[in-house]
Amino acid sequence: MITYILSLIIWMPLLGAFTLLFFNERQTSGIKIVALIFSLIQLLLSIHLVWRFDPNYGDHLLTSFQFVEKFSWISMSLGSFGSFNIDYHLGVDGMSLWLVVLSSLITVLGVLASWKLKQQVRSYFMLYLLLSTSIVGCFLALDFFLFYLFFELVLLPMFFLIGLWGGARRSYASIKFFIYTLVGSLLILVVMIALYLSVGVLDPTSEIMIHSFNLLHMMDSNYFIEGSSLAKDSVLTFMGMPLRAVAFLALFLGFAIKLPIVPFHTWLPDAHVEAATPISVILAALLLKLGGYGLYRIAFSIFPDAALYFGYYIAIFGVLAIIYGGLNAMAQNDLKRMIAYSSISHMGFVLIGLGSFTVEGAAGGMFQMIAHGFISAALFLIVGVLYDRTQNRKIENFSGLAIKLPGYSFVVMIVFFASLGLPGLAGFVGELLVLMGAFNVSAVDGMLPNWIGIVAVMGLLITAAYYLWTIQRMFLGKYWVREHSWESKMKDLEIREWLIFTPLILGIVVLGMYPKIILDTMNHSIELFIAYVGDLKIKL
Amino acid sequence: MKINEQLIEIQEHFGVISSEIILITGSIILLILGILRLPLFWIKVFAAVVLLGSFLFAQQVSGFFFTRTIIRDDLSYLMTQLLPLITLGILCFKRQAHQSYEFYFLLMSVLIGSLFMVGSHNLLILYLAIELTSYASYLLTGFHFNEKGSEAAMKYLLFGGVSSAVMLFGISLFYGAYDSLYFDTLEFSSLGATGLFFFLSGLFFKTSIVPFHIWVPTTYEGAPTDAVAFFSTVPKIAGFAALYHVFKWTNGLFNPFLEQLILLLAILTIIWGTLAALRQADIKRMLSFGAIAHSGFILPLCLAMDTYFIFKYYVIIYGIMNILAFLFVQLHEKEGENLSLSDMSGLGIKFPLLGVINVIWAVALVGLPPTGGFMAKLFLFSAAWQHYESIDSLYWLTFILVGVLSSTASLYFYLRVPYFYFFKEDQSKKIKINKRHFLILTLLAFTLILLFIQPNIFDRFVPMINP
Repeated sequence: MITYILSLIIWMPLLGAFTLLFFNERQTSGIKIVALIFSLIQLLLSIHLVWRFDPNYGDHLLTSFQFVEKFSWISMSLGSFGSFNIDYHLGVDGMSLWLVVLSSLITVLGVLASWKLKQQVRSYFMLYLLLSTSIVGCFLALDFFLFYLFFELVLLPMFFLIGLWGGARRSYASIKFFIYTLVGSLLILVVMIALYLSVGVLDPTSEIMIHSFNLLHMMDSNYFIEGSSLAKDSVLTFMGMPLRAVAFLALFLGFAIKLPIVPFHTWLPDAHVEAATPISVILAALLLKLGGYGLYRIAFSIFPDAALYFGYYIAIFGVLAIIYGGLNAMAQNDLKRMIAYSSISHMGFVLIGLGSFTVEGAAGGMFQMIAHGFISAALFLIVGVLYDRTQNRKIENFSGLAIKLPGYSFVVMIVFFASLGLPGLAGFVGELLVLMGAFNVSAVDGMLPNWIGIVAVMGLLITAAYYLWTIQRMFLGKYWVREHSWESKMKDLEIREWLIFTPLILGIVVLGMYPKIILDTMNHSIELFIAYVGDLKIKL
Repeated sequence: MKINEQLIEIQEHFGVISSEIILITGSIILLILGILRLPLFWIKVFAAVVLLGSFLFAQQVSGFFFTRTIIRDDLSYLMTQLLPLITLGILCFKRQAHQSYEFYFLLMSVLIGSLFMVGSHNLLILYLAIELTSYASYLLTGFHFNEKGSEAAMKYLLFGGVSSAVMLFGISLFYGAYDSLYFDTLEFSSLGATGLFFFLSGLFFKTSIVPFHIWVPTTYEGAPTDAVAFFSTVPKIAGFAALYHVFKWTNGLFNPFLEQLILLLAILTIIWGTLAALRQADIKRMLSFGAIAHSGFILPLCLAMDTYFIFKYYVIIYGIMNILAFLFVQLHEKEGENLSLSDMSGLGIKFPLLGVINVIWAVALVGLPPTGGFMAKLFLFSAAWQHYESIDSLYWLTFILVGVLSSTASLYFYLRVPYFYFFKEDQSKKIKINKRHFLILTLLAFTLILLFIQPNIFDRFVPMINP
């Protein structure tokens, strides 16, 4: 039986966007309520999805997807060129499940965080809901074309959301964001075309090769056409490297720009800092996850052989991101910029987890993404609270806030400590698992040398240093703010803000205390993933 | 065959070119109506009726006609339908002072020439058809009757004259080598290859391939915008269709060297067009360089023999995108002045729907989803990859990589239009667009998206003769 719950989750926000067309630009509260209702429905649906999710479904990566929907979307004959087929193909497994829940939760909180918006409210929420649709669509697509469509569709609304409602240098930041990520997407496009032409089934009646964008076929070596450019036995090379390795590198780069990895990260601080608070939240909590998810679902699952070959270098990139991002964060005097760099640093763990090719590492990387979703959302909202009141976010302009704003400082402490990896809070679990994976694999077969884990631990120290230093400078000591006019505005959190922070804090604490909730549902999929990807390791 | 038999055959064949005949008769009547001082509105209506007539009476037949000088196949059928429709789109442009009955007569002449260009199977007929489009185009360029327009027309005339002379020289070499001018009798020989090269330069001139593109920016800048929209679509698409025919029928001439040369030119065209467009502030100039880059994308499709569907899809999308973009630009123009980017600043906030349409055409020209422009590029790159896969040729791979990189770069300049439209704040600008134009813009933008969701929508209406 086909259920349509995944489609409902994806298209619900878009339906909301269409509903907004019937509103007048001046009916701001009505617009906000509609946006909230539709995103709440999405959240409820995804919670319902968790309820009905069977954590032990399937015994192979290719058969472990649930709630699958598959229809033919475009089926077009291109003459002697063959037949062109795109399916509307959705499915969810343990890896994507929690990312979907995270996205719908963050979408709701983002609507709440934009409640005070005054200019062009209707266009803002239409773009916002479109963005939400495309992000969730990415997590649920099982057809490469569909995935790519959603992946690109994220860019346009994001471009306008940064460029129209952002800070002073918003237009520069939005163009930079668009061009950087488009380079990545186009690399993915080329590999997608090559994969599409390499994968196919021979139609027994008409003897025509039917190519498809089906991700599951691309993961299965039986579907590769013999002698095609990306088949396992392909002899084609590009600058002396086998084409499969090149294709993997292109995919890796495409997703890593989104993640981001260090040499290609410069769009991130600009975009995060210039975007309005709710948009920074979406950027950090969800957009970066698209890159990570793409690595798991596409780059590693389709090219496990090449991934294994490059695993070591990928882990090195992870270490680089941790150290470089951490040091940069320490050097910032803008709170938002510091948090943006800390995101880069935290995403490094995902790469190490992937590079370790162990269940612990891969699960840790995935957990890290979800935990970071909660934590970074809370971090950017924290900056937003300060910025709403003073239009300023320089660290040096504030001191002793704990006395004046106790509720706010309480939230800040929890979130900062979660981000620096205090045991018992969400940030700790992912990092621990990743490090376990890294040390494990170095002990077992030496695929990753010991120093990678050791340096990553040093990275944790850096993280602790800049967070504690920030707490000391901004929240401890004597109460003082730079401008006299700010004094009257320094009020503690209001009810709306508590409403936004409560689910995040709850999430952070629950994930830290009882990570089993997520790990149990995720574990089976991760095991299948590693069994499938790591299968080659045994043969080597 | 005796002369009178030939005459009888020709008589019988007139039904095959019915849409061309409708256009020729129609344009002559249009000229007479103009001399009788009929109001311009009714002349436009008459022209629209003629164009629709030629669209409806296009004959779907295949084979050679008129003593083998005219060929009919799927491609020429597509063109006899597509090109009048695009011209119909040109009729919808905003009323400006330069528009007169002569203007529309010349448009029709270019269209007729273009249709014969697509239908010819003989080098001489092809040459005559190209000359017909060229002369009418030179005149159309100068219709502003100001200094800039005259300069543009003069340049166009000079370059066009030289290229047509070179082309004629190439044709004469052909005749010397094979004693025949029919496409399918040409074979490979060194003399023939030289002839082909000279001959192709004429077609490359029409389709603005890089070493032969120099006339494009000046002409586009100086000519009226509706004429530019027309130049960048109808004669250009016809030129590509003619190239497709030439390559299809001169199979003997087809060899790896030619393929490499064409790919090299295509790569050069893409790079040059993109790089030059990056620096333009005048929107028409920017679009003209963008159109040059697009020529580079279409060119390899003429070469590969199994890519008819992709060629068809690309030119349809290309036509729609360009008409939409130029119509959009023209609606923002003040009489006789060229539009610069800053003239558009701040309009998007006041007119969000126009802004959305603007984003759609810009994104389609870059080649991003969800527009037909993306599908066109996807099909193109798939074909290129398949060729790379089958012959392991670095030229095809380079073509793909250059194409991808230039798409990124083109994002920068195409997106500058919506960028100015939305992000620059300026309260002073105003614009009046009437409902009719608005409807056309919306319709075209909608078609671009529809062609993304259902790329095969045309095949449902137009079945193939010989699939």
